[in-house]
Amino acid sequence: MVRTKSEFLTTDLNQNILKITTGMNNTADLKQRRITFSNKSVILLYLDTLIDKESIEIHIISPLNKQISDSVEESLSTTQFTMLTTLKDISIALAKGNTILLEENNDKAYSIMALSREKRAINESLNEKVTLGAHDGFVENASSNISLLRKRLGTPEFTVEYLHAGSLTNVEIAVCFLDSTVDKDTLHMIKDRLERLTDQEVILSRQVQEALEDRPFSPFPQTLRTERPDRAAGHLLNGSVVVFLDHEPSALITPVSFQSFLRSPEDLNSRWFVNLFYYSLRMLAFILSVTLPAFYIAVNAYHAAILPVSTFYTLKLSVLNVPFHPLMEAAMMQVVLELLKEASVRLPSAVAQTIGTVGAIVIGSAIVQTNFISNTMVVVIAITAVSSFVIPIGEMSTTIRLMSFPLIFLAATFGFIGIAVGLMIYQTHLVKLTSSGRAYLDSPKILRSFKNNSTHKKKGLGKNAHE
Amino acid sequence: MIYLKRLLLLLIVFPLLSGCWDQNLIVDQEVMNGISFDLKDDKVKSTIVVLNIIPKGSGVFDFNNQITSATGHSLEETTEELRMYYTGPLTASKSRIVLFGEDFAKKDLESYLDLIYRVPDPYLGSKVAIVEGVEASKLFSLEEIGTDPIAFGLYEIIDAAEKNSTIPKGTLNTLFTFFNEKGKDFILPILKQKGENIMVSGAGLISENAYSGESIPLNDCPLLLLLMDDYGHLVNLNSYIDKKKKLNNQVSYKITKVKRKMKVNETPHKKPEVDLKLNLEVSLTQYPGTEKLTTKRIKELEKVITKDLNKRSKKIITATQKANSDVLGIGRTIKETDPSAWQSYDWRTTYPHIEIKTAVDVKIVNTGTIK
Amino acid sequence: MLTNKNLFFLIIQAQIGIGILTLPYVLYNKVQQDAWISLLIAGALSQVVIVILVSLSKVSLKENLYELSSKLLGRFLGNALNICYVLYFITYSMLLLFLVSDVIITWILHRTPQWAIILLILLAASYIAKEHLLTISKSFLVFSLLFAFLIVTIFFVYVQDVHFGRLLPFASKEPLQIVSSSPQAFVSLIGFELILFIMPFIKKPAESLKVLSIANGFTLSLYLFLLITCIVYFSADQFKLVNEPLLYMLRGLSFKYIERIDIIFLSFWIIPITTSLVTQLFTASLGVQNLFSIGRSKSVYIIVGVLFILGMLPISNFIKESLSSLMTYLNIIFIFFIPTLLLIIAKLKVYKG
Repeated sequence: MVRTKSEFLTTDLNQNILKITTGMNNTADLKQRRITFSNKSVILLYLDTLIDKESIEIHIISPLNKQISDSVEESLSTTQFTMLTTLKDISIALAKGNTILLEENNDKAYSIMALSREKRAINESLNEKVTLGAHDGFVENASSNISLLRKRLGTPEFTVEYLHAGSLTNVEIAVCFLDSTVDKDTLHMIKDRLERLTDQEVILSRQVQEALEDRPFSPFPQTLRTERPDRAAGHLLNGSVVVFLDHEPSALITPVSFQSFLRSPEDLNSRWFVNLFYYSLRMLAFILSVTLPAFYIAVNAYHAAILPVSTFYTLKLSVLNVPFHPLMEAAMMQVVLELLKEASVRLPSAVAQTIGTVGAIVIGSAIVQTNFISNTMVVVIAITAVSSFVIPIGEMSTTIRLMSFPLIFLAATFGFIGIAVGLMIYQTHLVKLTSSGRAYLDSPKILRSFKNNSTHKKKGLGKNAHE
Repeated sequence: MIYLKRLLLLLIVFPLLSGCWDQNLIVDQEVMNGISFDLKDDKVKSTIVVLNIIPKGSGVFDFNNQITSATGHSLEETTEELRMYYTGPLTASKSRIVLFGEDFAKKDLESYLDLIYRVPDPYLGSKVAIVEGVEASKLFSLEEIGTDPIAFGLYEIIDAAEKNSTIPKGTLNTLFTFFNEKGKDFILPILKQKGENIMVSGAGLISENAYSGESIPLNDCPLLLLLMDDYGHLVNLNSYIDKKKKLNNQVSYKITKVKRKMKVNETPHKKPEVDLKLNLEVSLTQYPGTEKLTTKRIKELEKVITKDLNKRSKKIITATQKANSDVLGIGRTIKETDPSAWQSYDWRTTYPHIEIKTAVDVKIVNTGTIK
Repeated sequence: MLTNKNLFFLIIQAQIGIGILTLPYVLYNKVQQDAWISLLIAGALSQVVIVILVSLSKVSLKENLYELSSKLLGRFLGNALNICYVLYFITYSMLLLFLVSDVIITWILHRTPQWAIILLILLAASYIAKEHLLTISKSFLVFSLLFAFLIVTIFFVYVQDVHFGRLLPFASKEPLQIVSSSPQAFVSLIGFELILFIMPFIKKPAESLKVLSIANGFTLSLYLFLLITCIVYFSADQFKLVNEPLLYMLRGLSFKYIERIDIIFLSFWIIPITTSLVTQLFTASLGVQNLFSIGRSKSVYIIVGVLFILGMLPISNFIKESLSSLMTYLNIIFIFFIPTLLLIIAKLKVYKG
């Protein structure tokens, strides 16, 4: 960057103010306040929309008015401030919500933190609810989020590194890790990838996620996006890196294994057999929601011979007057289900419940009565949907539900053989995936993962997938 | 990227190209539940029963049997005709029962049934039975047994008979095994229609894959199965206490433990001799007169039962030899233990003339809840 | 790098495949109830071959057979041999595809055209085969769960009517006959020739012989278990009739909740069959890569294309059968004779130099 002379402050106060206001494009919410401090004019500049006026009053104006000493620096000794000299820095500081203090005959500006504390209180995350365990969740502020983690991990090894991305968004990305557990190569790789983000205008954590993932085109998420501090802390202990994007209420965890998408922090908080049960249940839910519709279609269209005779007739009875091919039925039902789900998410929660009821009862029973979709298909798709909702991470849940579609097509073409081939490809894809260089689908160390101390000190996991 | 490409390929190309060649929707299938074969004027008469269900709304349904027959020179010829009666592809994948008329059963069954084993579609768990007295297809016209549709009812009847040790467990699959087993014959249940009801009336002895015409009467069946060492859950037998067959004069017992020992002895004159020892432990279930049984009385009873069973088993063995049906698998035992001797026999002509000594020994170990 | 566990599953998946369906039939028709002795002899034979293969691949740990052959035989002869090997693997894969599609058409998809089944299997196989060897072995590990299902299912056969006497009389056939039918069994055990091509990827080459022997032992015991189950289940003449005894046995099994286990089994057995194909594709693609110096995933696609075109050819049953009997000899030549020859040459070279 070439520093031209005009970019530095001069000793002329009025000229400085003029330059700054022009630098800020004369924005209307840039306010000035002029006070006199030891017979010198002092100007406070701030963006009215960002700062906390009370804090300016308490932390800046009243110390200055008390006239404890002649120097501004000493008067402000109780407040945190930085010295700025260039116009560019000043405009950035203003844009970020700092208050700029300019003094007569001084070519330095003081930038004082007086950001409005308007932020959401720490509430439980709506997306990852638990019955047992902590009820705090991340909020839209990286430093509050980091503080939630710091409270859990009171160790000097907890390290935070900041990056800034975007010339317009100028947003903060925080990389947190535990120095002793993290794999240095992995950390290096992650930082490298985040470094590439700095030229991008980042607003959504999906952008960060895409940068972090080894295969962004895979349908499976390779970074875990969580709103729960306990989950993030657990992963930190296991050697993962947690990335926060400021103004996003979630943490991105990488490297992460496929299995951790099936775990809820609540599991680890329970007795080992409860833990085992819920883990198995989620495994089952995963398998069901991927394969059940395909299985049903394969049986219906190809392999009715495998059904016991009573089930065969029950099934036949339910599909007897349905005019559609089971593939069509499945597609229609899935679409109806996604519509209902989408509708209830978009609507306010009171109305959403009505939509749920109307959808489930009215559409569900009417669709069967009019013989558009068979009873069994409604049951199959409902089980599929419920199974996918059991998966604690929303991203994975949707992925899994959609992963059943290719299998449905294969099943409708080749029956069980199609399913077998499809599952083979899925399996290989999962095995192939890596998350920040670590294998995505670890060979399950099931027994170890059910001991409650499993989250402590597992250095061995931080190995490269293709060693 | 390659993954996406493959996904697209799988999703779009396959269903478009294919048209799903082998699709056979559950709705279209016409499923035969019962099949029967009779012999009529030197032609095979096949009869099938297809169960149709009629939905009556909200889970309530009714059913009716669609029964059709066809005649032809082979099974496939009749099936071709039968297919013409139904609205969809006919499948035997859910058949419960295969019935043979008496005349048909006396033919070489294996060669007739080849179709069932050669095609992968038919269900091999179907029960098999011979129908005596009437044409096999007549049984189907009863429509229902109890509340079960006819084919299911027949399946249940035979299944129950297997559990009561009237006949050994048998399906189309075991039939295929025994068709090709040298030195071992098998038994098929015999069904009889009595009024509106159907019962298992005995065990038909099969010789050389054809029904011999001889059968073991119902009350001797469990004993035969004990001799064959192929009994079911429950083995109950009765014996007359005195020689006279008079009212309320039977002791009944449940077999609790069986020890069977078969020994084949070579004799110089090219005819094996068989020693069959059966040690039974029984528990009394009926005794004429509720009285306290003394040890002495029990000993007497043991003697009576032993004598009776010995007599009856001799009778059974004679019947099998008369039917030339080696249900005990003596031939197979010889084949396995003494292959050279087996080579020298013509088993079909040898079996009726060999000497089979049976010795049944009964011990009463339990008198039930009453002493 | 492959750990011992990875290597084990790689080898068993390469070994177990379509052979399991027809092996009992083939062996029983030759030596009846003594078939299991033949199988044991074949197991011992394959153990000897494993020792030879491992010592050949240990001649140079950093090179696979394609690189080694040029070193041992000179550039021209070596390349000729490599071409032969690639052709052998392609022929083997083609035969495998024909056999599996035939079985599927006979048992499940009667009207589906052969090319569609071949295309489906090739797609899956190429997707796996182009991956890194470690990825392949990891997927194979997961697929191996199927063997557990198979074993559990087979145990249910014993609940039904089995007659152990069918194993008798013991060793009544001519010893020569028993021994001479063991090559048939040997052919179904192959798959361990993979070691010639993957030695450079193995973490602990010193332990490879042990791992291979354990894998071979596993396969052998699985086959033995199946064979003995088939022998005690089928009556003598019936056994000689059924083409795929394992499937027929499962067809006769019926559970309360699943009536036709054979359909499910065969549909999913396509996975172990595909894995055998994957190993063939992998080794063949290594050869193509070596010969024409193109990327490995590209060579996989080329081979798959060739196989698909070959699969479209109208090939009569007669040709298939003669091809399969020819394959028995080719297998023995390429897996036993040529490696033995190469090993002798290598030892001589060491001895001279």
